Amino acid sequence: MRFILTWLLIAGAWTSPARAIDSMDPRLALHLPDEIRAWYRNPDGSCVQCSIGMCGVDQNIPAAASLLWDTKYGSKERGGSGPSRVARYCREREIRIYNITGKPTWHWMRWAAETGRGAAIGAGRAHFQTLVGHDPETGTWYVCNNNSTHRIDEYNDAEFRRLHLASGQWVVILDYPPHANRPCYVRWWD
Amino acid sequence: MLRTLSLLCLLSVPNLAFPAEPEVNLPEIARRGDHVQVIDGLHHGGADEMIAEAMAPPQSDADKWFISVITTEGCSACEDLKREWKRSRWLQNLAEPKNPKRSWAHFAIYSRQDATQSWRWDSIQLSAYPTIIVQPPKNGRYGSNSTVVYQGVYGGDPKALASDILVAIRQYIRKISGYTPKTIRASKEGSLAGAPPPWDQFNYDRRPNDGGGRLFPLRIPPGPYDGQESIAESERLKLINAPWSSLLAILMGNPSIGAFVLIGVFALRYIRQRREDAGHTPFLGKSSFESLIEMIEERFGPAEEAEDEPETVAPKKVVKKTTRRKRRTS
Repeated sequence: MRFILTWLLIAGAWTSPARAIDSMDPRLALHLPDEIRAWYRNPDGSCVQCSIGMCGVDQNIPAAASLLWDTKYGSKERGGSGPSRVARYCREREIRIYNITGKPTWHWMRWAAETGRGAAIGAGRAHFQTLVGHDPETGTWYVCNNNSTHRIDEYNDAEFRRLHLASGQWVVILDYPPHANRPCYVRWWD
Repeated sequence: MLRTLSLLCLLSVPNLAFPAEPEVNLPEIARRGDHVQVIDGLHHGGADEMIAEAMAPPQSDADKWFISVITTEGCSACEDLKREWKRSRWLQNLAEPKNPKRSWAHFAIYSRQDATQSWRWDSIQLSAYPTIIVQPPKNGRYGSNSTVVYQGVYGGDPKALASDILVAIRQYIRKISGYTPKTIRASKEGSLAGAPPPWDQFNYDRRPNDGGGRLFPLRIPPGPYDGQESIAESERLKLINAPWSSLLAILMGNPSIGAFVLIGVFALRYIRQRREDAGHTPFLGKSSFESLIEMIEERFGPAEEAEDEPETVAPKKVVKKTTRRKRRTS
């Protein structure tokens, strides 16, 4: 009995803090189906480009969405990045971004989520992930890790703070309008 | 020295040196259309207030409506619409593709063939292009952001398109205005916080587009729009209404000043109408233009033929006949 309980506790600790949330949940700012997020699975340490690419698809910015591949928008950008490298290839590809470091990142992340935008954020040790939503009422942050694109992880304020500080405070937000939710018909005129 | 002094004089007058913000927000006026807002210290609320609020410059990105244009390859109308949206003031009153921060609505152009975006249209029907879709802001003030408030296909007239969109938005707001929430956030269960929703928000028909039977009308909202708000086709000048008889008279060698004036006035009105359709600002305001036309017609226009006056029949002189009786004597 003790053995079973111990293993259950270990399993519970292993899986937390990630919990499942639907990719089209209205609480999220970034809405991408699982199969689209899967395109941005990190193959080779290109976490920054994977995160920015996910935001690019969400906001319909092909130049940003195609960072990982050779396309008409430019050569593929692979491997690790810093703010200056991101600034360089965004200038080359004419992608408008907010490239934020330091303490202002917290305010900008809240702004992005509030206005329906995703954000490429430092999250985890020397790692970048995609902020897909923030619920200020519950203090929950929703993050998609490009090492596990099939799920969206949830963090409370304290957990998220540790996560963001672990990587160095750096956030990239695409300076473009947010997407509209998937349109649906409602017979409002009846 | 003189140049420097002139420059300093110019710089001291802020409006001349640095163009300020426009003094009148013309796009907002155009968006409001025919609208009366009563402000008398009493709370009115209701549809008119919501419409005024919707048409005002948005306070933040969360307050902007969404306009999506879905195009397809090899579509000349799609290219035409993209061009018109960059230069027609009617469409720019709604969205400024070149200036997203100043734009009243979020604006995005999608290609039907773009595999990265095609999943967005799973729940709607697309049958002609370019299709324009309008959705409410994300602030929740006007219902769910997913609701299609307007869906239509561009017919080549930017002014008509802008008018149709605004009419649809006003109709939609009037429909939902019975519910004025204080704080709107779609809860987990889907209902708007604080009050029951005025419509069955989540009874969406999510059947896929089978291309066959039409589940929803191609244009949303369906049916003719309110005649008072849409462009009255009957008032528009058409070439068929031109003074062809006057032109014919001139060509037949029977010119007259009146004929020239009729043709000239028609041409002026027609050119003005075409310029307005293209979104250009007219040289004269409407009242000035009409006054000018009136003056020209009065001075140089063809004299109006006096209408045949009804024949007046002189009253018959009534002569009283007097008869004289012969006196008869016995």
